[in-house]
Amino acid sequence: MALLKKAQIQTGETIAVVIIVVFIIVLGIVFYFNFMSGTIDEDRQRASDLDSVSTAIFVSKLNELKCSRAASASFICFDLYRVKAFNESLNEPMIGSVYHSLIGYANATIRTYYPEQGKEYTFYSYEPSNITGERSSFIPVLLSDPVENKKYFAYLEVKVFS
Amino acid sequence: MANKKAQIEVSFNWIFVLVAGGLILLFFVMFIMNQRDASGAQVAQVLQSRLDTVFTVIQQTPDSIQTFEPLTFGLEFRCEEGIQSYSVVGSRTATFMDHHIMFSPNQVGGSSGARLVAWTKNFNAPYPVTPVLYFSDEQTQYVFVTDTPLVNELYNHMPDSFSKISVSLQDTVPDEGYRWYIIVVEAETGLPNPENLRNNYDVVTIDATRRLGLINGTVNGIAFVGEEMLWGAIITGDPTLFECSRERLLNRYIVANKIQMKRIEKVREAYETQGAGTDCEDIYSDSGDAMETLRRINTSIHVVLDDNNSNLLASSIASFSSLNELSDRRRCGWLY
Repeated sequence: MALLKKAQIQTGETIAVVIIVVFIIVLGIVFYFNFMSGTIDEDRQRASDLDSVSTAIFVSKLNELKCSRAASASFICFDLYRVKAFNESLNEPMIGSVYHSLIGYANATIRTYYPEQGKEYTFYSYEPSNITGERSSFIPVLLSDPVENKKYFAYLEVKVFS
Repeated sequence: MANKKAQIEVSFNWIFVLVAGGLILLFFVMFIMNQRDASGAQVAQVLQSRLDTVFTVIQQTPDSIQTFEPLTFGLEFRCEEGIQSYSVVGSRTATFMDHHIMFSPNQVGGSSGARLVAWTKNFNAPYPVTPVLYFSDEQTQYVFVTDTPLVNELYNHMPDSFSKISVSLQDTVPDEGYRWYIIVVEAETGLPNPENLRNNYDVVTIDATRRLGLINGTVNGIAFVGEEMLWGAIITGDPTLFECSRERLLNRYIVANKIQMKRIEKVREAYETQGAGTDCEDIYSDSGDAMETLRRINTSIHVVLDDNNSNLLASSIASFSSLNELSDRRRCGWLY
C-alpha cells in the first residue's frame, strides 16, 4: 500500500515537473514574441520618420517645380506657373500614376507669409482611404511669379500619410 | 511472463523517449533555422530601406560625388521591362526603385575594402529633367582607350573616385585583380587586347557626334542623347541594363516635357489676363515656337525609343535652348 502511494507521489512529481517546464517554455515564448513585436514597432516608427523626411526632401527638389535659372541661386525656389502646371498635370492618369508612385500618400502645400500672407497652393494631394497616421515636414522656400515679376517668402508643408 | 512484460515495457519506454526527444529536437532545430532566415531577411530589409533613403538624399545634390565605406555584402542590380530593382546578394527581398534613375553595373560591393562611389548629375535636355545617379565601386575598373579625343575627354572628366585607367590600342589590358572591367572605346578605334582578362569585362563602344554643345549617337548600338546618358552607358557597362535604365529616363523626360508644355500654357494665360506680352505671343501661343518645339521633343523621344535614332531629339533640344535665350532677350522671361 505504502509502495503504491510512493509510486503515485513520484508519478505526480514527474507530471508536475513536466507541467512547470512547459509553463516556463510557454512564458518564454510569449515574452520573446512581445519583445519582437515591440522591436518591430520601433523599427516601423523609425522607417516612417525616415520616409517622411526623404519624401519632403524629394518634393522640395523636384525639377518640375523649380524656378528658371536666373531666379534664385541659393534658396529653394519654386516657379508659381510650374506649381500650377504640375497640379493640373496630375489630373492626367499617366502623369498622376507616375508621381503617386514616386511621392506616395502625401499632401504638398506652399503657403506664403511675406510680403503677402496666406496665399496657399496645394499642388499634390494623394490620400489613402484609411489614414492611420501622418507626419509633416516644413521647408522654407521662395515662390517666384515671373509674369508679375514678384517673389514671396513661403514654406512648403509635406504631410506624409501612413 | 511478468519478466517479459517488464522487458517490453522498458523497450517501449526507451522507444517513446527516443521518438519524443527526437521530435522536440527537430522542433527546436526548425525554429532556429526559421529564426535565422527571418533574421537575415529582416537585416536585408532594414539595410535596403536605409539605402533607399541614402539614395534619395544623395540624388538631390547634383554634380556631386560621394564615396562610402565598403559594404560587407554585395548589391545586385536588375532592370527588366522598365522596372529597376536591387537586392542584397543572396537575399530574396528586392527593393524596387521608383524614385531613382540610376545607372550601375550588375553588382556593386561585396568585395573586401572596395568603397562605393555615387556620382550625381542632372539630366538637362535642355531644361533640368531629373537627377541621375551613377553608382559603382572601386572593384569595377573603367579602362579608357584614349587614342581618340572623345574617349580622352571622357577619361579626364570621370571623377578620380572611380577606378579608371587609360590605355592605348596597342596595349594589353592589365589584369589588376578587379572584379569587373569596363572597356570604353570609340567605334572607329577597335578593341585593345583583353587576353589577360578572364571574361570578366564589358565593352562600351561609342559612336557619337557633337552638335551645338550636345553629344548624341549610339553606344553598343543603343541611341543616346546628352552626356548624362553616355555616362550611364559607361558606368553600367552592360547594354541590357543600360537600355532599360535609359528607357526609364526617357519616360520621365516625356512626363517632364508635358508639365513644361502645361507651364507654357499657364504663362500664356497670365499674359493674356494682363493684356500684355504681345511681343511674346509668337513664343508662348499654342502654335508658337515654344509649344511646337516641345511637341517635337515629345515625338522625337518616341523616335529614340522605337527607332533607336537620337538625331531629331538632339536638334529639338538645341532649338529649345536657343528659344530660351531668345525669350529672355525679348524680355518674355525664361522658358526654363
